[in-house]
Amino acid sequence: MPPHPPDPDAIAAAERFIPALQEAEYEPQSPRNKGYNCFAWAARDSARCWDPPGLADWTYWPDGVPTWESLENYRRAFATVGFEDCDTGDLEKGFEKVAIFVDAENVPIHAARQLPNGRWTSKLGKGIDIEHDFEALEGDPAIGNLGCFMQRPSPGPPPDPPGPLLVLPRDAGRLTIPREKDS
Amino acid sequence: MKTLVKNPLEQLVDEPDRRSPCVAFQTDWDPGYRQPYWARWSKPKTHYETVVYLKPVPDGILAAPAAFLVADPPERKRFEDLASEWEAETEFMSRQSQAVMHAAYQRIIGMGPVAVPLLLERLRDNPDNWFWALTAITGEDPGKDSTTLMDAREAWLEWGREQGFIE
Repeated sequence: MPPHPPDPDAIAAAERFIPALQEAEYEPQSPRNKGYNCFAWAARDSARCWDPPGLADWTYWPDGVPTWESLENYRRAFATVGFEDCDTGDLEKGFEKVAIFVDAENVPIHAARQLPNGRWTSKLGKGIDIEHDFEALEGDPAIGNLGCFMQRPSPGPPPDPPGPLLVLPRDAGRLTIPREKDS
Repeated sequence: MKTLVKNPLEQLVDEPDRRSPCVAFQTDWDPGYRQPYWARWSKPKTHYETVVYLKPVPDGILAAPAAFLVADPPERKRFEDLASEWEAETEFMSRQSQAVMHAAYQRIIGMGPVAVPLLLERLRDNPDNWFWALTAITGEDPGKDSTTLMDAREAWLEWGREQGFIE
């Protein structure tokens, strides 16, 4: 039983953007949340987006890690929280693993974390978290192909509680425009 | 900061994106503009509309820009269509550098200063990474010390209020 009731709109959107999900067995685990991304989730950080700073610098990127977007630099980022390279994504007692997926130019576009049951958990962009089999996502154009596996001793720290839902009602407030007073 | 200018309304109309947070008007400008509380005007052939609050002071009239608006509905609709398109098509992108390269996002940046109040309004109502566009257009980065979306949002909204873009 997922901790949150499934959101049909979020699921439909995910399956549109990631067609591999249409044929896969997966379970939604959270509502949509723009406050963290897949790289943060893989590192058990659900408070921030892990992303090299861009033109506007508001994301988290570990100190000392070069900001050029490459597999090597994402591996360095995960190394700051204890991960080291490993050969396989097989479940191994005493280790927690992450998989980093890359696009055709070898730039990371997704990351997933292995769960104690051997399946994997992924945050899908600004959308939902899902639990899935490893093969369910690999190779989808939106997910990419395996770049590398990394591992660290488990159990890792407990996941941070999810941040606030960053969805406000559309009528939360409008820009008000002063109008000329009647003379 | 207060700045004395000879014909501030003309300057603001001609250069709508060069606004000071506060402008002190001299008394020799067109008295037709001298309204007790606020003034507004549109720049010809654009969709800019500017509102300033006016307050008489001993050496002139103190004017604080209150809003910098898109008055023309097609511009607002164009922005909202592009913003919705970007939000829908990048929901599952994890890298910000990938999402901001989406054509809809780039077209919003291409709208220039007219998009700033709309971006701030969108940021307020439906937080997302509009920071890149705001920085690209304004050259400012008030959220640079933030590491979360909501902290950066607060920093930008505070900046927008200080600049008179939103209330």
